[in-house]
Amino acid sequence: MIAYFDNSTTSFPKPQEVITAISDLLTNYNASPGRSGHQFSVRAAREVFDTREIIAQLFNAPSSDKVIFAANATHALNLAFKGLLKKGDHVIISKMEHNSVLRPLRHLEEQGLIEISLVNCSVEGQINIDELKKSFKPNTKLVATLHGSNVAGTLFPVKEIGEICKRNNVLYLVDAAQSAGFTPIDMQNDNIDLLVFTGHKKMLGPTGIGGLVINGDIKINTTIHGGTGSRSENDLHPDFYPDCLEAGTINTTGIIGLKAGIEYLLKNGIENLKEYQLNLTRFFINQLKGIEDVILYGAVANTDRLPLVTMNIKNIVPSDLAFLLDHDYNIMVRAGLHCSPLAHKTIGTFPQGAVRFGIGCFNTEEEIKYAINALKEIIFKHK
Amino acid sequence: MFYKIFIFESSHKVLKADKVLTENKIKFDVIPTPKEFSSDCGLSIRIKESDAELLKVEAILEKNDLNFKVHNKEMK
Repeated sequence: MIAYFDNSTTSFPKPQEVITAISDLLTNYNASPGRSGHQFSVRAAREVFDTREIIAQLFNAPSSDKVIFAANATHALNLAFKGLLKKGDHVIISKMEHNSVLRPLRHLEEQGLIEISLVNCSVEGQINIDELKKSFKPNTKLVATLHGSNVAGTLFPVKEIGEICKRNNVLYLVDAAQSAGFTPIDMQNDNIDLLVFTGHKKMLGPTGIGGLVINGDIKINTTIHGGTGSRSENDLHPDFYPDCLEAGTINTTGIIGLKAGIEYLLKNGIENLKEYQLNLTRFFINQLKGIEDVILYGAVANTDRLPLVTMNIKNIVPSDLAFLLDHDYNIMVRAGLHCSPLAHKTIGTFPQGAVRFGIGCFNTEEEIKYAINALKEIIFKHK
Repeated sequence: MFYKIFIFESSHKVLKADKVLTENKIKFDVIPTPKEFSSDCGLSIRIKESDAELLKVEAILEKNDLNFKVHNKEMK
């Protein structure tokens, strides 16, 4: 058996519809969207437009022209932070954040532009709301938190945080890299001003496509200037969305694959797929609880959470365990710090990290049982 | 043949117009914006001047919050 449990990094496999859509583009009409005006170019442009519309609908964003495509969540976060923050601004983040949030902000801090406050989180990976409320300052411009933790599997109460931000007249950015496509997100209802997503995880698209969705009249200055296919006679970059944040030919292949991924989610029902993945996750966690020497981390099994299991085995280095699983059992997981040293410090697994099983909508109960048996065998051999 | 050329603020707006006009079963073409018209966008929409549905088009665009300019052009 081959069991892929690295879906929190990149989901695999992709629905056949994603492969078919990308193949159709590359075979039949792969022109630059909207640039040239001929039939292939217009067809590609229509697909890109439809994808912005379906993304706006998926996240209940008010306007599809503020769905900005980027290479991934990291790229989109950089667009948002560097285009929004100015000298003297204060930003609040949590101690579960990924390096994609931490590093661009630390860079701005190092340049003397911004100051950062870090809100503590529980050992299960849940944000301390009282501490968040006390972190606001007169110059606070932005609160940026993840929605779902790639390490602990917790889901933050984004609606509650959004309300707190609204009361403080501060913008709220949600990093939905792990949650977009897994659990419903409602930007307008939850007071999310800026939402960052990536296509290659729970949205079931290919790598290299992600984006930033803007709710309302928020000015983000571009850090990239160039060709847009619009206002071409002008030396200066256009100031209207989405063109102002998208210079250069966009990733049509990724966008069309992402659209097919979202259509798959909508056809099968996000809630249905979520329940399926959470049932597998809970089954896995409950089985692991019965095994001596297994240490489980993060969110409690029965909460509203992400479908991932973070664990270690006593006296086995996480990277060694991941290698054994791959080499001896064809079980693929991710060990280490998951680009999230802050989060691992919070849950108590820094610096060695942990082993993460990321469960996807194509995993099966048989695969989970196979993984449990593999872990039991590994533990037995190490006694 | 004489056409009305509809020009919009951005490619995104042209594509939105493309979508709503298609939904309303209007006959039109998406064309590269003719050089003689100043535009922010490389794509425009053309409709035959003789088309009986021309009057409906402006109403549909306005209803969907799409700002536009209209020009006349003879095309073979």
